Amino acid sequence: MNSASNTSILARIAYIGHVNIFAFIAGVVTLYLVIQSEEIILLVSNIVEGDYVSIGLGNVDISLFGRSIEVPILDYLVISSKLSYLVASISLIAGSLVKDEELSKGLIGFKLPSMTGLILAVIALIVMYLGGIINPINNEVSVVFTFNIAGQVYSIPISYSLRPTINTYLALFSNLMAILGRLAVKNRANYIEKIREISISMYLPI
Amino acid sequence: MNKSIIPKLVNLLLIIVFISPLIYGLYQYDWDLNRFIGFRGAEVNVDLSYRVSRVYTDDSSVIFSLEIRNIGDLPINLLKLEASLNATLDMQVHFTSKTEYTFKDGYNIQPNDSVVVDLKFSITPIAGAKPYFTSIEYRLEVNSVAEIFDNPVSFPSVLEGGGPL
Repeated sequence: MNSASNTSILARIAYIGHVNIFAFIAGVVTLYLVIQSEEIILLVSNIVEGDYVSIGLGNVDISLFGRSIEVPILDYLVISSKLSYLVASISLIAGSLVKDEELSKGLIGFKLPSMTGLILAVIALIVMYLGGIINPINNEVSVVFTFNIAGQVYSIPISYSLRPTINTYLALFSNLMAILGRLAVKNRANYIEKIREISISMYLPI
Repeated sequence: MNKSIIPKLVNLLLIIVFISPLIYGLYQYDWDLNRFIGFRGAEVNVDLSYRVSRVYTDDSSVIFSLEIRNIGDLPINLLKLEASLNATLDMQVHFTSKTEYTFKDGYNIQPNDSVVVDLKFSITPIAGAKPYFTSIEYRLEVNSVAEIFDNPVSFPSVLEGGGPL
């Protein structure tokens, strides 16, 4: 099976009429995540009972040694992410519904890097800030805290387990849908372009 | 309007909505990056306090009842207490002595909790003929060897005092 036929298969699956279903679903799920604003990532302390870090599009909650901690930049990052997701989701929905191929490609095409980038940026910033190290094998994040005890500074690592929530899966799912939607719109646009070229060449005077 | 401009505008909007709140936040914190990225909340303290609650002697030693209190916010697992005593008995007999107290299996001391430990310092070789003493001046150096979340830490301190035995 060549790439051209693959292209048409993906495009055929992704499109119902002129609607890019994958991008539409990605947009709707993302919009749902924005409206719902519940936690997407939950880190639970393996050592201190009741300590957690909850990261969502609504807010970031950090409970450290039984007390609530605020990091101003995280509050503003939440607003940034929420607005970006809102724009991205509307763009995805509009791009999936619009009939014009070029416009649809433009609206859907660039959304994925932005979305993935935002998720990674938020996670990376928090983890980097806390000086943590992620162990992807056991889903653990090790965060090093420093304490001054009798004039001596001690570094104490505390590990957190990554607990995926339903929203974690929804975020991953929306990204996957956005990837497929993006591939589909790109391939369909190329496919239509090819057909156009063929049609033009057929009518060209010899 | 050129159709290709719409995705570009959306992309620009995306960048603006992402950056604007961060810039506004930084402005709210008077462009102080350290405050902006810093933790805000009550500081977590880790510390032990020591208090000599009683000093007494028996035939061959001076015994210090030492109260150890967790005045921090985290539980501390006490493993061992090392102590060094520099004392003067009845303003005449100077002596130094060392001792250790080991907490079998550790002693987990919660915040605001305390534990009393009897530290026994031998005085037999110095005491000589005098069977008992009536007063003491001391300088007691203590060091608790402990663990916080399985990480070794130590809490040194110096206690000075005196009085009747």
